[in-house]
Amino acid sequence: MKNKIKTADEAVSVIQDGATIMVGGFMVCGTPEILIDALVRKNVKNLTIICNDAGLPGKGVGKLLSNGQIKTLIASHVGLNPEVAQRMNTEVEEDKLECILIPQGTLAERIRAASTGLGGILTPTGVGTIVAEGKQLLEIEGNEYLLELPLHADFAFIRGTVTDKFGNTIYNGTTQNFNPLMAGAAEHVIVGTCKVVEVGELDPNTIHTSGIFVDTIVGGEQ
Amino acid sequence: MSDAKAIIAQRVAKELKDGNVVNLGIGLPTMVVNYLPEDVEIIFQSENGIMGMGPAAEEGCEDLDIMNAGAGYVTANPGAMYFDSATSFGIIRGRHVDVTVLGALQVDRHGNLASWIIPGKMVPGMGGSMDLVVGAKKVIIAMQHTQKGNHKILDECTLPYTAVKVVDEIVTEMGVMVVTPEGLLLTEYNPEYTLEQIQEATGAKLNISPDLKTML
Repeated sequence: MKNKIKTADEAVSVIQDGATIMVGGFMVCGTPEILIDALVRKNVKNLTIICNDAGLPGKGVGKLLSNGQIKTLIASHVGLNPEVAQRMNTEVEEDKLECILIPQGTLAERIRAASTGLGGILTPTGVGTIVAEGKQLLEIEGNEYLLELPLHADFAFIRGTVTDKFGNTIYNGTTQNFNPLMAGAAEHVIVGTCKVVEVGELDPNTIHTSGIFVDTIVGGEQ
Repeated sequence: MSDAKAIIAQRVAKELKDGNVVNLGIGLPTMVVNYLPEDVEIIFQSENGIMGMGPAAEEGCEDLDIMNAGAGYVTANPGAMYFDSATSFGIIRGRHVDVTVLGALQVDRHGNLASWIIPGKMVPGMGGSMDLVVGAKKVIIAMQHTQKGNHKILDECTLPYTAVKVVDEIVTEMGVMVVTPEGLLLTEYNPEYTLEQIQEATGAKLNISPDLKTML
């Protein structure tokens, strides 16, 4: 079987300017910092980042933001990183951040739709609000729903707690969040994991994400 | 008015019944846990992926892998479960959460809610709030009655909606207001204020319940 284990710098070497990257985590809990740090070193620009939030200054995707690498951020909540507002409102054109806000449950389902081959999902969330603008409204059994389309990415950065050499991954506690959804929604999936074990060591009952989704494994995540 | 938040949290706590599945928003709503009667057991859900969330972790004992949606380190009660964000919001939209308690920028007499954006000024994002108010069986808004003297309870919201016709009840330091087809019904009031003062602090007409009680 193909050896999926690489260093963080080797893992992100395939990422070019303008890529769309999904990053797991919720307020940096479950974000693979080891991969973010490598992407900061590679210093690719004009990225579209899909993440629940904007991390914190100096943490998670907040590092990419501070380093001027994000052109578009697709997230549900950015209020805890003050740099987002600064970059959205800056007069300097090349530093300007486009921020697309999506209700959290819709963000999860749009990623899941991409991961599971669905043409979209129908949700009551956002009906009657500015979130509904430009979207198809459907009435089904007397209730109104918005058609929300799948959200794909070129890459996904996943954070595992334990990963075997095939890529089978277990998430601890609330680090799970968007990680297993994103693992299926990107062309190329990189797992930054705390512990790498041999194939066969993990109890199949406890695995959250199958190794079939994983292209590259990077150990050493804290 | 430093105890306004305590009054609100204490009153909201009475709304939570034994066995309820409850999601509390960030900030003031989180204070509700401090006022729960000992014989009432609540199952707290946090949308970042936990059912059966316990109290905040003690300093020095934090598990960095266990957080609530407000980025605070928490604990898991016996019987807790962790899950991914799609499962979490499936629980929320699927009407498996009995009560959600959230703050607001504005609420109006129709039960419309504005809580996530002040265009041109503050754009924190909606996070999970839009899903929570659409999916929870009961939506309680816990907030101070006015913002620096400005009305927050209005005839019509002027800020962009979080959702339309979703609020069931508003709890402030001045009283408890229920959203009815006829508008806002004041069912309880804080006797520190006169009914005239409460009406004056409200940007919509308050109907007074014939069974009006004091809150707390």
